[in-house]
Amino acid sequence: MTINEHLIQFCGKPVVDFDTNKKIMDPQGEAIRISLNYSEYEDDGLYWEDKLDQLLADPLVEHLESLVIGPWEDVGSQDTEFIVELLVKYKDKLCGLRQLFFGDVIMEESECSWLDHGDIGELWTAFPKLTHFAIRGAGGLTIGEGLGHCKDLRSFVLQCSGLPADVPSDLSTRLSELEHLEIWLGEENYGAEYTIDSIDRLINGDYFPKLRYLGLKNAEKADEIAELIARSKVVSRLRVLDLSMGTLSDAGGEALLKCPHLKNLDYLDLHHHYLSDDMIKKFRSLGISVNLDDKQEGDREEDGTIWRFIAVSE
Amino acid sequence: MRRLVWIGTEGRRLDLFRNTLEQSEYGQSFEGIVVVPFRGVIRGAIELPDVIESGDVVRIESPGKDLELERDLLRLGISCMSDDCDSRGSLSHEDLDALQFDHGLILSQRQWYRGWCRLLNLVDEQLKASAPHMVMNSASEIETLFDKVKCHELFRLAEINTTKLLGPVHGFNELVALMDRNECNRVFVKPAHSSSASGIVAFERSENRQVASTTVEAVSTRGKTSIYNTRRVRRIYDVQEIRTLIDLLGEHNLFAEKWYPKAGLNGKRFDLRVVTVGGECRNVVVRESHTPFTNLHLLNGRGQLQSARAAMGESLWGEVMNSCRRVAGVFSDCLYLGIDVLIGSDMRSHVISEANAFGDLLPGILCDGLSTYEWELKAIQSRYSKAGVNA
Repeated sequence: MTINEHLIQFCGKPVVDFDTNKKIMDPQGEAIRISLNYSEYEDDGLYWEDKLDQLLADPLVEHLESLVIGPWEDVGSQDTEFIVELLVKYKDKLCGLRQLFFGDVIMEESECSWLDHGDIGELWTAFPKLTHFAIRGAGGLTIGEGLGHCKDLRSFVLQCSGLPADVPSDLSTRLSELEHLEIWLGEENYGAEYTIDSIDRLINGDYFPKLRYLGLKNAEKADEIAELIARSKVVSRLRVLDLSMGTLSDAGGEALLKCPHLKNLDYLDLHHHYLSDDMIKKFRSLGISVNLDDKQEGDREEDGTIWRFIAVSE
Repeated sequence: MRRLVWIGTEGRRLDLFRNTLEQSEYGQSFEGIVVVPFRGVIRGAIELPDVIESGDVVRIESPGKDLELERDLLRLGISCMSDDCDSRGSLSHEDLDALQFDHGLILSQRQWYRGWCRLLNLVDEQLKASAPHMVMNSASEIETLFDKVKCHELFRLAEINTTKLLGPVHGFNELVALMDRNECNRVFVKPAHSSSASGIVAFERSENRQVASTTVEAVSTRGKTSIYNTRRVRRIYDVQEIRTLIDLLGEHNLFAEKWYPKAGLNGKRFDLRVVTVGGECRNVVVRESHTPFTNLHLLNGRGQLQSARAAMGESLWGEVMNSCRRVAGVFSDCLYLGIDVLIGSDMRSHVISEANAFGDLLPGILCDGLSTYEWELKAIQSRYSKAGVNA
């Protein structure tokens, strides 16, 4: 599986591509995407910055709440530091911004693992009122130490195929309003350098008193993550636990079932897994809603080795 | 009553067409199909003027996958090779005598194309000397449709949106240089004369990494490396392996075009195959894929036309249909065409990827209740009644 479709909704709002013919119509009710399409770049010689300039010239831009950063020129070759710089430069124009999706790029535009960012730390001081932040791709990504400036942050999402080493500790900062934390962990071949300990410290460090949704997804080390979850007290406060898109096998399933708080969840998402039918039955009998869709079989080699794959690697 | 003269091969296409002719109301004015095998024409056993009767409808068909015909076409391709400086991969009479069926093996496509053109010319000449008849798709336009680079040029001249052609590619170094010169990091490399996803490589690179996606596999046996088409899309990360593959494919008249990012639907990428008949857009099929290749031959599923159309919106849909009509206008001697349309990843734009002379094989895909073949027979009926010609 790869990500093949652009966002249709963000934070419950329809996503609308900005172009000069279509002004901002509903600055609170729709999310605006700034993206550079093929013909704008190839035929019209436009750059992403030109598209942003057009947005900044809109009379309603100061009321705009929700922004989606779509493909820029040379996605997959050029990192996004220039976009961070531009957003910071125009932070006064973008003073209404609360919800930001960074990198709505699909596989046909760039490999997910080739989506390079840089140090995005300046965003936190420029936009301290952000309530929702999501980013796709983690190549060269640095969150920095300033995320705690965003005191109203309710949702943080990082979609990637390889989580860099420093991200968990940078996220380990008090965010008293954070309800939704979703991190795609990825695999070593695609840049995953985090440790299980760093995830342990992040989720069990009492940084997020209001956390209701925890997603540790797309993990090559899904079984180890499941073991960690099983011994984590954080689960008792969650409504939703999402360990989907990874390589969860019976070993991880067995460990997870020992978690005493599992039955208190409203929803457990394990879709895209490698669980046996017996294990699936055990999860079904938990008495809570469990998503066990998309069972994977893995590739079996002659010597008996079974290769298991995460959902989004490329 | 009229006869349909089928110049081609026996097989699935003929069976399906014959079924339509026998069962559809639009086939009622036909008394039957006369089959003229390509091999008979090549060997001189059949002369079309002896076959064609006044008022016949002639359908020149795809050469399909027939090893004996392929061998004949490659043989025909030898005799007109002298003016071609690049003889890499070409096969001699001795090679061809020894040729055995090897599933998926890619043989010299240049040589095949020359043979195919030669056969089309032969058919064209003989038809000119035959009794008055109607050809569904003319031999000369079929020839043009088998030259993707030329089609590209024709689209461009007609100001039809199409993909950006970078140029011919004979090997990996040339490809890299071409990409450097065009500041382009993502390309599709295609053989100029093949159909479906045969021999296509999607190649992308950035500063320190590269990946090629392809159905082609290089297989080395006894010191000789051959390339095969498979139905499986592989991803190759190793630059040496990519180089070997592109160098081998480079023997087959490759060209590179910029990778046009395609839109997604239901979690997959998709494109459209639009069949035009008599200049009008008729049957449309959505082709979906998890890979960069959306061709039907790769066993991809058929998506839901309605959901694709809804996602595109009526304005874009209208633009796409308009482009297809214009493509049909470029090939006015073709009654039908199968046109591949790529929808941009922004779901606001589109380009014509290619047009196919034999792209009307869409069994089960109906438009207003009619199959592609029925639309064609209906168009023939009205053309004849307008012209007042009767057999």
